[in-house]
Order: sequence, then structure tokens, then C-alpha cells
Amino acid sequence: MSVRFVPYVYDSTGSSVPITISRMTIEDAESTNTFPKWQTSWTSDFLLQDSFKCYTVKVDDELIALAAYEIQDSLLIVHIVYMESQPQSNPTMTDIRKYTGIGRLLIAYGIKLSVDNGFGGDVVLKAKSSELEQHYINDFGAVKLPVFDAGAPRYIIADEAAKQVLFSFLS
Amino acid sequence: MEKEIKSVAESYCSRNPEEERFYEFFFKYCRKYNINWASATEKEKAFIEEVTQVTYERDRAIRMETPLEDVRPAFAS
Repeated sequence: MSVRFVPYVYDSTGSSVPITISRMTIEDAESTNTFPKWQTSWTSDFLLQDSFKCYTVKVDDELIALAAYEIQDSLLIVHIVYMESQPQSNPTMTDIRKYTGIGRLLIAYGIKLSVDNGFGGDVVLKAKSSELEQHYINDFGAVKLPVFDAGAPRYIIADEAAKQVLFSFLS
Repeated sequence: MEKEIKSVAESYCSRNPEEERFYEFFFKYCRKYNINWASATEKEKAFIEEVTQVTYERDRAIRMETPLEDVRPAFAS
């Protein structure tokens, strides 16, 4: 039996919708500056660092999410740096989301990148609010790492938890 | 509000070199002692945290040329 990564999100009716994931182009990044403007401009210098690999999530030609990942060879992990949904699907910008399940998808893709790079699926991400911390713990099985100084808490999703997230998209 | 949101995104992307060094030691010692953090016992976690912290402090003392004697010994009561 073989399994394939089949990514999807949910539309407003709860139906799964197939999506495509590819490397972000400058045109994709520039589109976040036009109406409806995204929460973050993805042409910002801090997102265009050489060590970040940015990916788009699209439903047909509609850009619905962006994510930046960092392949950390020395740590044998993929760092999920930053994820953002389109304004129409961003829970901080709208109460009625056009698409849901985007966060889980982007984390699963990070896990897949970790596997692709020989790290076995381990990913790390930061949580800058207690709400986000609980979301990562409860919904993705994230485990808190030791905290350095006063830095933002980091969480690892690995082993069984990573497997469960990735399994959602394998068929 | 817009400026505050921009700084949140930027803060996710920013790197603190000392913090990155700390986590390099952390993952190195997880591998060295064959400990999977996600399924580690509390004792194993406390062990790795202590080894990481003391090693990081010693490394920092060397880099900053401060006395190594000032670095606390590991597992001290």
C-alpha cells in the first residue's frame, strides 16, 4: 500500500476543498499589499530572509495562506516561523471564515518538510499568546521546550503527535 | 493596532543569537542522551534542561571571557 500527501482545507459548508502548495513568488508576496490587505506584508524584509522558505496555499488561483519555514540542519528540525491566512479566513480579521483548517494544514506541511529533509517529522514553533499555546497543546499535541531567558515559549510537535497531524492528509 | 500587529509578525521572524545557541545545545543533548523530548519523563526533561543550561552558561562565559568559576556546577543542591 502506498500513501500520498493530499492537502485540503474546509470551506464554509464544512466540505473539504483540494489545495495546492508551492513556493511563494514575489507576485504572491506583493498581492498581500493590495485590497483586501493581509495582516502582514509578505514583502517585508524580515520575511524575505535567505534562511526562510515561504510557501503559498491556493484554492485554484486564489491565494488563501502563506507560511515561512526554516530548515535547521544543525538541530534536525523544521522551524515553522510564521503562518498567515488570507483576510477572509483569518480568525483575527473576520468572524465568518471562508476557509478553515489552514493552521493544521500548514503544520502538517512543516512536518512533511521535516521528513523530506531527513528529520523524521519534528517541527518547532513559537507561541506568543496563551491562547495559541493551548491551541498547539490541545489540538496538535505540542510539547513545550525549555524556555530561554524571557523568550517566547517554543513548542515541538514530534513523534506520535506529528504522525497524527500528518495522517490527516495522507491517503 | 496595525503597528502592533506588524511587530508581532516581525517578532516571530527575529532571531536572538544567544537563544539559538541555547537551543543548539538543547537538541544536541537530546540526541546525545537518546531522549525524545515529546515523550520524555519529568526526570529526563529536568536532566536535559540542567545539562543544557549549564553548558550554555559555560559556553557563554568562554565567549565573553568571564570567569568559568562563576558558572554554577550542574545538579547542585
